[in-house]
Amino acid sequence: MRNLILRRLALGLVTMWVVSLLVFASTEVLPGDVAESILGKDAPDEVIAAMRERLGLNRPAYVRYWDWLSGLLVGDLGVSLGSGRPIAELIDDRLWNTVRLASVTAIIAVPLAVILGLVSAMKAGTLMDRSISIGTLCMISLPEFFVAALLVYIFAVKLRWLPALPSVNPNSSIWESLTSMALPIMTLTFAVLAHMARMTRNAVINVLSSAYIEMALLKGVHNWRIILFHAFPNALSPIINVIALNLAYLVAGVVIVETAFSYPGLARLMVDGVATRDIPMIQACGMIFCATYVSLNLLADILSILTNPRLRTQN
Amino acid sequence: MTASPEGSKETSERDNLRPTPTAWIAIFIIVFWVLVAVFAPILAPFSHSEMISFESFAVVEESAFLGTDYLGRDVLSRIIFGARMTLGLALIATIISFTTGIVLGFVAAISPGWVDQVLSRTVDAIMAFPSIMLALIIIGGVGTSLPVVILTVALIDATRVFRLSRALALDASVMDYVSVARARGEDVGWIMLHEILPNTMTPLAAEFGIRYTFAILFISSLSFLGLGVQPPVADWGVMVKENLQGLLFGAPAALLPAACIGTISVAVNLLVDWFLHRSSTMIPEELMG
Amino acid sequence: MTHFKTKNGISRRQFGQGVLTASAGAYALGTGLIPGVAWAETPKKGGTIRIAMESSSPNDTLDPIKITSNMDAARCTQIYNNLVRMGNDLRPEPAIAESWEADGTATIWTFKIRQGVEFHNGKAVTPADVIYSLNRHRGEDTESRIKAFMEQISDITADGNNVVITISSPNAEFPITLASPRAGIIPEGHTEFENPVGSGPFKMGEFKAGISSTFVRHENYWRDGLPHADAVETFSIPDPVARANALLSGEIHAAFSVDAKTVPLFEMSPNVEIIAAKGGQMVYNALMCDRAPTDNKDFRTALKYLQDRERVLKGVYKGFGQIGNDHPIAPSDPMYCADIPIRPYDPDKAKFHLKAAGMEGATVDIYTSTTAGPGNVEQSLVFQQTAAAGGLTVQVHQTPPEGYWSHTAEKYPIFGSHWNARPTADLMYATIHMTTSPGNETKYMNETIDQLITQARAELEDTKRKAIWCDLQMIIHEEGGDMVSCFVDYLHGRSASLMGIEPHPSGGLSDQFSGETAWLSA
Repeated sequence: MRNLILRRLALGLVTMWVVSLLVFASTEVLPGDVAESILGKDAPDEVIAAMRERLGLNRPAYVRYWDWLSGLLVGDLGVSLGSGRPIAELIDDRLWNTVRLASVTAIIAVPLAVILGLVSAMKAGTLMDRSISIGTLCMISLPEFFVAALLVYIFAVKLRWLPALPSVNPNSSIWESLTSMALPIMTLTFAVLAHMARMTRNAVINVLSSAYIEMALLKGVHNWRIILFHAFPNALSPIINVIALNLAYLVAGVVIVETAFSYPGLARLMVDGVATRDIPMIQACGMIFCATYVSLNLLADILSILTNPRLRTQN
Repeated sequence: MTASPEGSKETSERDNLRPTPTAWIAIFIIVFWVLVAVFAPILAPFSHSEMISFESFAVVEESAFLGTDYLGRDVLSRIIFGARMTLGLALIATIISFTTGIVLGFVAAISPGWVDQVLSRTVDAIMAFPSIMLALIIIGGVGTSLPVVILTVALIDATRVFRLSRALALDASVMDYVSVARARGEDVGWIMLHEILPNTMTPLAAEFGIRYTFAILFISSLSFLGLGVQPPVADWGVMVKENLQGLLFGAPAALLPAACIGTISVAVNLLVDWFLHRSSTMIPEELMG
Repeated sequence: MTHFKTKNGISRRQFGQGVLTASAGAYALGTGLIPGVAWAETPKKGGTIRIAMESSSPNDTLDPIKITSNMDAARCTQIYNNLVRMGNDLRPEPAIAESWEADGTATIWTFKIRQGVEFHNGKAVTPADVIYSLNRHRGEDTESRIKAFMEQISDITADGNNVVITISSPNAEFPITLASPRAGIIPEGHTEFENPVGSGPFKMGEFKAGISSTFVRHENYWRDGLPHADAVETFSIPDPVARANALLSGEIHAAFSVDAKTVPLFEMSPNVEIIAAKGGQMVYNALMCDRAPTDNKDFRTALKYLQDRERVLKGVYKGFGQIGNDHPIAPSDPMYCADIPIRPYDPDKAKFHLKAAGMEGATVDIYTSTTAGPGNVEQSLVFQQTAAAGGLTVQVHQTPPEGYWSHTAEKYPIFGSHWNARPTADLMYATIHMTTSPGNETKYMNETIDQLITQARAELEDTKRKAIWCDLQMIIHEEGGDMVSCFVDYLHGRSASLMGIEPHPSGGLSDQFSGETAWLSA
């Protein structure tokens, strides 16, 4: 088992290295550079050239890649080309905002999804199962930006129960920040709930159809006991995997929600980076997103190995 | 789990072939939209780009019974033509992603280790990148046009298809019939086409449904960020985006296209559910959800 | 692109007016009231004014010379004062300079520095501070975006309590150059813009680049009783729907730039008002005259005949604008030439010119983007419709806003573009129609235009000057590459409780959102 985990870790590192190549290469193909985008269309050529020179944009690609990678390895994210501020400093608040939104959503959505999935599995084929299935499907079947606009219109403009703009004031109380973030949390919950609930349901049903559950049934064990103590633990591995995927989405895939609620998170920062061709910014955000994805997947893999009796006893 | 006794599988499949009521609804919705898309020019009262009124977001107009959009165009006609674009684009993107994803996935599964490693790590890296960000960079790099949008969506989808088909092929390649074919001296291409593909068909077909709805929603997300389909082309996602301000007026222009996207993706998913349910194969991990 | 650029120019009318305004001191300072607008209530003190603008970016700056966005401009007008400010009539008004005068040739300008203006750090504003601030725009390696217009300054010196600026050639409109938010005055030697110091109505509170800023009242502000509010918070809501929602739900007091199509909704809501200003904001299609097919005059004329101006104004802008006549001067400009008839929508004439150009039944591509000005994409879609009547097929390419100005604009023969209002016709032409104009994106340039502009600057008689301006408009109307269907009003939204913000014909580039005179009634 230890070898298996070490192998996964090694693979994760290799993936991160490939990611760094991909991130760097993709920023290379973006046309235009920060000098043009900052100075605008009517800037004189010599001003643009002066800025390029100052920012070191004229050096060959491999030199810049090496500079960037070696900085990255010692935790140096570089300096934003546009503002001249260290990227770590710009990211600081945003990362915290992103983590806050993602974790609150996860705390609500993950248990909710698992419960819905378990209930569906238990009542498979019934009206309850179908309503849960269609209900969650409807939630992911609408574009996220539409759900966001609709929720804002109903709860903020019409009813005035919840604010349209999430407050990111660190001094506000927990309750205040929860209500102020309620609408983005709802939108994101809509987006991730179905995936996880459906996975839980299907995984549990799969295990239920296997032989040893039939044995337990024959022995007269109660339905919910079977699901909670026999089927669910054995179905954990795919559920953990899909939760990891969705958590990664909550960190990195939320650009639409951040835009619709003008929530200052990391994804928006990266979009701004693309807009202004602030390459180090794109690279830093890209690496953070990819690292989140890779490490969450790694964690899911390791948890799967630990929770899977067959794999646990291997080695 | 596929190893159920031959006889019982036959009968159970025949039973399961009868669609459930939900499956019937799903089939009805899909056929309805396909017909709308095919006969769009006959059905639509106006062209998708004609401005028939100066009024934006009119709820009901004399000539436009579903109202007008932000530019005074007929919402009904745009929804009808939008069916073409929405269903068609996503279909092309999904077909491309499946062809490349399956071929590469199978190749990775039966090729020597290093090929598999290179392909798998690259795909991992692409998947690690948030898809909308990847699209933003690709489209930022080469500009927006229909082929670029389609290929971007296809690329992102292909990575997911790759993972699934590789896993399925790995499972299948240890099966007896593959060993037998190998022993017969069949080449890799023949084995992929005649042995592995038929035996992985069910989960792949189900995945197709899921990827298809994903493609529809993803293209609409791209439109939200201004990277999707070009105006004045009518695409449901674009329509939701361009008329979003009309939501504040309760205009049908914003609500109806969203509902259309909703119906098609719910229908496809219900059909996939039924399809997976009726086949007695175990649902692969990558597929569920 | 969003700033005023000035070129040398001389005009007696404006020259006289500037001196008059300054010396008479007629401007109602210190009362908290803007002339011409009678507020029903007396301003209330206190509160935090929340202003949402379009987009911000991590590159947001508080260094005035580096301003790139409307948001930067708004923030800098909150923190800094200028030597002069731009009034609602687009004329220079006194600010740090309480008066100014020029010598007989309009080349040596003397600005009298107001006494008792205090920086946020308690130091009084002196001529040395002004000289330091303006010198930052000069020199080879300055990153000032108004470098081109500050280059006309050949010398700045202090003379007692005055600042004397010498410019290289006569320019009666020189003072308006100094009203740009980029020309804000900072203390001598100040370099630390993370911690900005100015003399403006608000001082540094908290600033997070790309997110928000909260600036607090400058207690010793030189205009008595101002500002009214305790603080002003400025942040960005890039999505127009989200911005409208935030205003409607009462979470913000002002929303910068609202879509004309949502105005009826705002009008229905009792809590929200529209701030609308007529101005010369030009949202148009540029036809590049240096490449095929738009280098053909007949083809350009055909395209111009295929614009249904009324339809664009009504359909896209819901009537919030003025009809344009294929040149960059708006009807609201005093130099506008009403004698040139508006070119009608005439598919037959268009067909004739298309035939002459050998372009019958041709297909043309228009490149545009959401960043190419409000409603630019929609204008092109309307044009696509109206052009069909002339047998012309138009393909509209909407490209991503990212990189539009550097990679799409001026790369294709027809592209959407946008110019903010300029205070004078001269500045507009100097920006986009002279041979030397960096913004000459249609590439229509010739000596006649340059000469006529020089002539107009030298012409001291109003009617003669206007006649020259008529010629200039006629040339562009007939020959040029400006497809100007209409000029677009500046539309912003405000909560009914926000008072003291007046429409400004230059949009966000004035100190409209400085918060100086704004107050909250509830």
